[in-house]
Amino acid sequence: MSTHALEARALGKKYRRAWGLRDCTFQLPTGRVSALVGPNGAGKSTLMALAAGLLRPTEGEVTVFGNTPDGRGSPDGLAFLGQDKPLYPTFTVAEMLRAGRELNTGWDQEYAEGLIAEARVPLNAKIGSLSGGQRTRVALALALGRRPRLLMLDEPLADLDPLAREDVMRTLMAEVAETGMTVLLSSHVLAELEEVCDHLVLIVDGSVAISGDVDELLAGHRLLIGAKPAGGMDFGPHTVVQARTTPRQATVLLRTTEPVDLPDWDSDQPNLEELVLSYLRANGERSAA
Amino acid sequence: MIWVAWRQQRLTVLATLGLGAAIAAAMTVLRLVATSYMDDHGIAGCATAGPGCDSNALHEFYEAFGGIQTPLILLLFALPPVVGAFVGGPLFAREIERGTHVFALTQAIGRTRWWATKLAVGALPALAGMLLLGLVATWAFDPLAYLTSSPVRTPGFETQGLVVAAYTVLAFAIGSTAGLLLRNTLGAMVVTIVLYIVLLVGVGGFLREHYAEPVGRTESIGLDGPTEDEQTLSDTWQVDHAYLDAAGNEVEPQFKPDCGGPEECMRAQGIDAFYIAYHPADRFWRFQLTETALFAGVALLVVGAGAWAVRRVSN
Repeated sequence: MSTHALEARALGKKYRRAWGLRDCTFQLPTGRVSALVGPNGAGKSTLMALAAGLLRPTEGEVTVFGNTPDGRGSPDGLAFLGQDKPLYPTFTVAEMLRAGRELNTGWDQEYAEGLIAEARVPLNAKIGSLSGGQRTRVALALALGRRPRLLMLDEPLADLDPLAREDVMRTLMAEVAETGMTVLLSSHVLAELEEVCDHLVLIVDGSVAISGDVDELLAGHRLLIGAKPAGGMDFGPHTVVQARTTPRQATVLLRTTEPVDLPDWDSDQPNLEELVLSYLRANGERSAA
Repeated sequence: MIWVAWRQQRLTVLATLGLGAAIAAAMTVLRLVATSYMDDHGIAGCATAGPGCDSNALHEFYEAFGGIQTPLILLLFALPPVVGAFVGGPLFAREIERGTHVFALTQAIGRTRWWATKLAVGALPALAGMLLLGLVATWAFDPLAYLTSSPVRTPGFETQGLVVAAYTVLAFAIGSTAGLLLRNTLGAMVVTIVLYIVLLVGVGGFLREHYAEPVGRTESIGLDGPTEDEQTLSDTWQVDHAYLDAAGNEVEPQFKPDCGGPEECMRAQGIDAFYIAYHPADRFWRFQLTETALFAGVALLVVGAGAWAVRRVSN
């Protein structure tokens, strides 16, 4: 039995022209709420489609609770909610729940109906007539009604207004607290996930830039701010993730687990946003070079 | 899954069956009215003019009913590709267009079962309905044989018996598989109709006459008036003819002016006999079975391609 909810090893997917994902390796521990973050087109949806068995990997492998998705339905224990929240538009909410029951073993009708009632969506409403927020709540009820051990949501908040976002996130986190399930949420906006996630997978240009426990990641980096040095910058044994300068000031992110002892610099632990942005900038510089 | 597939397709399935039922009802009425007309005019059971079957009465019968039967025949011609395009075409293509296949393919049910169930729920009612419709057409058009000329000839052959269902199954298979490959409803519909026309024209124009060795018959020229033989030949499907000289060699007749009447003209060119090859009307069921098997076989191949294509469907 794997202790990882999701594991990717050298995972790659090549589309007709280019790689959508390449050499992607990371583990998702069980019981965590993970943010899958990266710019648009970085490969977040590709990764999720591979894990859900919608796509087959070109190279490497991905496992969900130790099982390889084989295209014969969703891997055991996984519920996936795609970016467009696909539901049959001509079905009523009740019929959609019935579809969930028909297509799944271990379906919890009472629980799903409870989630719909909580969302105050009428059971006889047509899916096509629902607002974006209601639609997301129904889609979420359909995913949760399967009682998954891993819930994978691709950009769940992308098309929602701020109130609906808060609504959906509150529901989601309440269920997570109650069931202890593992969650993987993707977004290109980190701020959406920062408060709720304790684990991070950052994908840039089709491969994993960093992944791990958020607190450990933050503790493993230092953000330095100081006057722009006249000559080159030397940080001894510490690895520079990214450095940027204005005419007078320099900001540098270091990856290090050692204490930093550089008297010319103000050294502090970065926040998650600074960390992620530095890695994104570093990648931008690499691909520009 | 059966319930989900039914819930998705019930409108198109019921519309198809409703349309079929309406055509069947119209054909039933036509048969009843036409047979009573034939009884009243002393031409009951007449497929061709001849003794006991007055040609003027038959001509009037044609004038009265030909215009009613023709649209029904056109409908029966059009129904298989229409069902294939409008029920089979969107079956998977519309789901892929709307992205709802991502929902279906990420539930516990496997994609092959999803595909097979949707296919069965869409195709089986259409198959049953069209089979019934073809048999009703056979029964309804039987006394109207004078109008359709011959059940082994176009359009009698294509609009009766088992082939109506066989055409539908193939068109449906093409529509559904094209939808999986093209991921586009309109494209799948166009492909269905185009392929269907190509197949039907190809089979009807070139292949069908080879289902059996035609019957050959040689008659010497110059007999006056239609013989009894010629009457029985008029409800057959003639597939070949030739002019022969006394030795049995084929002669290409030249049409020259000033050589007298047609018979003299032919004799002057050494033509002695006229040869025809034909399929008699009683080969109807045999040809129906052959063509049904042929279309069912091709449909099976197309469905097999669909089984392969569904494994490649992604998000």
